[in-house]
Amino acid sequence: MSETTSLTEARPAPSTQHHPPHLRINVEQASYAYSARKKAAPLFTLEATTFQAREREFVAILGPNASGKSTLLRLIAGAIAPLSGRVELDGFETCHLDVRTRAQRIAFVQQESPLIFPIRAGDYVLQGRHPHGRSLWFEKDEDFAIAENALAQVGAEHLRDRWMHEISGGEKQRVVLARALAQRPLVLLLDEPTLHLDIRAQIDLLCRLRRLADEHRYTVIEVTHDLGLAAEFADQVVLLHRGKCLRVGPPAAVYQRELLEQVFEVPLEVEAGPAGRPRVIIQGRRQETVHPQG
Amino acid sequence: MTWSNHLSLRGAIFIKDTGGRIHLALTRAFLVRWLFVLAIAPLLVGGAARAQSMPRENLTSSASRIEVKDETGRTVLVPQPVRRIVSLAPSVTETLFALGAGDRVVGDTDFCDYPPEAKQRKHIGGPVSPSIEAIAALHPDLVVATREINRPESVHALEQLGIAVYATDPQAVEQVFVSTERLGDLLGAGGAGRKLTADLRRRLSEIDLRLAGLPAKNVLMIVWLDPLMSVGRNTFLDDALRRAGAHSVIDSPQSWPAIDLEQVVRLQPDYLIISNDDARQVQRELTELQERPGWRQLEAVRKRRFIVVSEAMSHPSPRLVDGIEQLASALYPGAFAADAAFLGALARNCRETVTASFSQLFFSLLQPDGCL
Amino acid sequence: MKPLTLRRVLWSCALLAGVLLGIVLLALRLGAVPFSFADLGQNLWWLVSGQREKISTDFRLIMVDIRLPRILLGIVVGAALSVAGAGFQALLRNPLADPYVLGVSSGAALGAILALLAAPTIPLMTPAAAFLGAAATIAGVYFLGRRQGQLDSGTLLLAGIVMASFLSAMIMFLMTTLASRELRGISFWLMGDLSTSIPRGLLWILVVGFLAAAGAILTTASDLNVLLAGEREAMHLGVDVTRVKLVVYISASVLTGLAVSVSGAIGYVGLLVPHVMRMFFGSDYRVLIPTSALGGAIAIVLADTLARTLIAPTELPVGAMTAMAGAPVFIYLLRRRVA
Repeated sequence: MSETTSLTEARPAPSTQHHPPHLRINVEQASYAYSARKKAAPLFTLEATTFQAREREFVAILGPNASGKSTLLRLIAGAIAPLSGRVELDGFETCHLDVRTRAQRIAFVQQESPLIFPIRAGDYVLQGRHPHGRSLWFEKDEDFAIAENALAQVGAEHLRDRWMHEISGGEKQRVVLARALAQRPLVLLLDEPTLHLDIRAQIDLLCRLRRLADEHRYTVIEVTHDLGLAAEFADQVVLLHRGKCLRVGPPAAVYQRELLEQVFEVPLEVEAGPAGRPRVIIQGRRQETVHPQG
Repeated sequence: MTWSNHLSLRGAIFIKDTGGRIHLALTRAFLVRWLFVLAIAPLLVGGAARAQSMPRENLTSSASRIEVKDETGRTVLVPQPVRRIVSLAPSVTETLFALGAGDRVVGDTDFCDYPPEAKQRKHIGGPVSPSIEAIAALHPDLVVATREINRPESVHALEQLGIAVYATDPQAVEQVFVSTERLGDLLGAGGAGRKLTADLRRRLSEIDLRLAGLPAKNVLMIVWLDPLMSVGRNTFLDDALRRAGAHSVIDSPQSWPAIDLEQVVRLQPDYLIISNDDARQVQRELTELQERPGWRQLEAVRKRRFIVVSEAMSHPSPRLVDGIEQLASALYPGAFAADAAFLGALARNCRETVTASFSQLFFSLLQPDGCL
Repeated sequence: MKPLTLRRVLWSCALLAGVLLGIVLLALRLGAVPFSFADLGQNLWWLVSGQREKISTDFRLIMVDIRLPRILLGIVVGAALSVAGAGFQALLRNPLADPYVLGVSSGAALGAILALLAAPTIPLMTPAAAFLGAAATIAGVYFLGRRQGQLDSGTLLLAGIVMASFLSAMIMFLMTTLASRELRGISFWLMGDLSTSIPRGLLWILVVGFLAAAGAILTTASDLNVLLAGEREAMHLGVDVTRVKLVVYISASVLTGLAVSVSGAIGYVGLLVPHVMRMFFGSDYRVLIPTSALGGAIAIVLADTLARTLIAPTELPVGAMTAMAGAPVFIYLLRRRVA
């Protein structure tokens, strides 16, 4: 499988690099809080967070459940406005862009895709062209080509005529990603995309994302709680814990044992892996014999 | 970039494919699509409107119209003379025939069965949902309706076509007579009308005479069994009961109130009255009634004090008086027994309204004399 | 996967329009008073070619004054109910939604009853009061169905059902306690009845109202396709969810209100026609809206013709026909499709 070899390769250097990659996403001291009712005490607060993401960069927002990862992602997507601070895309505040313009630039892949009426995968992917159309429009040849291309990019051309409710979880996730790609966005946001997938599908998906980010200059921001995969694929990690951003940086800088143990509340070990990427070993029960993994 | 072949609609405006310009062409396509789809409708409706704007020729052959107020307060322009009548209720048909205008009735409802000639007139449907088309096709000069049975929508629909509709609304026995007279005047049969009502009034005063001084008997008039329905205070039926010496135990402002059996048991009427011409059905109902648990608490049921009158009683038409006579003689046999002439007349009237088998059946079941 | 193109939409509509035309001609021919096709053809030709003098009185009376307005009314009502049904199915994301699920018809019925009690002799009172009742219900359910400031499908559905039940209870109360004379006709209205003739001006208002509301829904058709995949997803795909939901809610409710105020609550059409059209033409709302409109028109005109002619001269209410025919037709189609 060509994907496995890429795991051990270093990230290929970009062919031309005259200047630093373009700054896409700029999150500056953005915070958010929400409560059940107006004027009630906030149930959850995301405290001021700062980080930046450039084109071709793969960012992992990492943290356990209820750490504010999805909230941060929605802030970046512009679905909600920050209480303080700014979230900018190419210099424009995302929450102030109108829905259509946003959708032309940011593609969001959700955790669950509820489908009420049956739809074919091909039509589903075609919906990704919606932000580029107008009211009362019909898809043009160009749109069909883009959708077809998107399916090819995720390796799902054979699924085009299949019904969405009939395909497997991994295949479905690929089709959903294809829809996001059909939007021809600048930024790809994914909310725990590997949640329901088996390990092979997980690796497959992340490798593709990696490649796409490189080839098409996407910025990929993924929310995950999977320590291992984040370490392997991310260029930058944003570590969140109970609404606080504890650290931002490349995986090697963020994966410190004490820090991770505090955040994830399990005993673990961190060692250096190939290509400068850290490797995490979950200890399980401290009293038991430690099984070293080489 | 050239135009895609999807929008190859003849006559559409082709615009070079550049982002926002697509919107304009599509708006036009949208309009064209709708015009295409609705092309037929404006044509027809326009034609219809033109037809509508034609001077409406007199659909009737009568030359002049008089203005009258009908019994619901509406102003009606009735053509004179009235040669073609359509009746929308059985009671109206009966009245029209009784006035001698039967040959002028060109259409009536499916339920008009008295007199027998009424069945041969062209049927225009039921009283509640008559066929406006069928009525219009008969070219009537006048349509006679009742407020009780017919719907205001039917009346409006006919009015819109320029057909005169006269509505009656008698709520007491005397009003039935007045209504008959007015109808007679309208149809140019005023003399016949007055003669008829004079006779009816005479018969009623006969009854009044015989019943003078006798206390009214408590009765329950059963209009419907499931749910149990009786008559309310302001109906002609209640008034007819009163004229027959009966007092309906139900006191309700509604016309056809649904009542509680418990209430009836508390009121303990002396007699139960059912108005129906179908002997077998009545037989079935009464037998069934006696089986029902709650009903046995009524003395009237235990002692089998049922009185069945012919349906004549429930129609606000001249035959109403027949029904009143029947009921009166059933309630007070003593007051009428001695009068052979009266009984003879009663029997004659009864023979007209009730089949022989029916009266035989009830001779054996109920009272020994008279038909009930 | 056949791509949906404008040409396909137009051909689908043309096909249905042809069927509708056929049914209309049949409806014109049939009725309590029979006409032959030859008569019909000749008189129609005279009508459209302006030779009005030659038209027979009977033809003008029966066809033009009675049948034609009734057929046109049926077309508008059927189209309105079907488009409203399709709209509500998308708005509530529920394939079982029909135009009456949010209580609009009960509100209109209450308005009609009050009109019948207050002013039974004024013909325009009933439709006007019914529409006011419908409008009040629309507003009420809207305010009840909001959550955090915008329309929430689940809350809206619950609010609508509660409103419908409450209004139905009030209607039943009124019907049993008040004098029954004026309310005799209300049972026809509750079942759906096209026999009430309405003035020509009102028919034009209906047509214009229908075009405006259905057109509004049509402009959101591509948004609705995406909305069906989920609200959050739709927002991320560039759909202004709040605006679209509001437009569809108001337009579909207005369509229902218009239809119900003139013809009563004709059942099954709003629910079944969109599903049948989905079977034939696909679930894409850009083709579903126009085909539902035409399909609904066909269904109602057909049902009304049957209602008029089945036991002529007595007329059945249209709602009885749609109820009797609706379920078996759908079962048949469903089984064919599965088989």
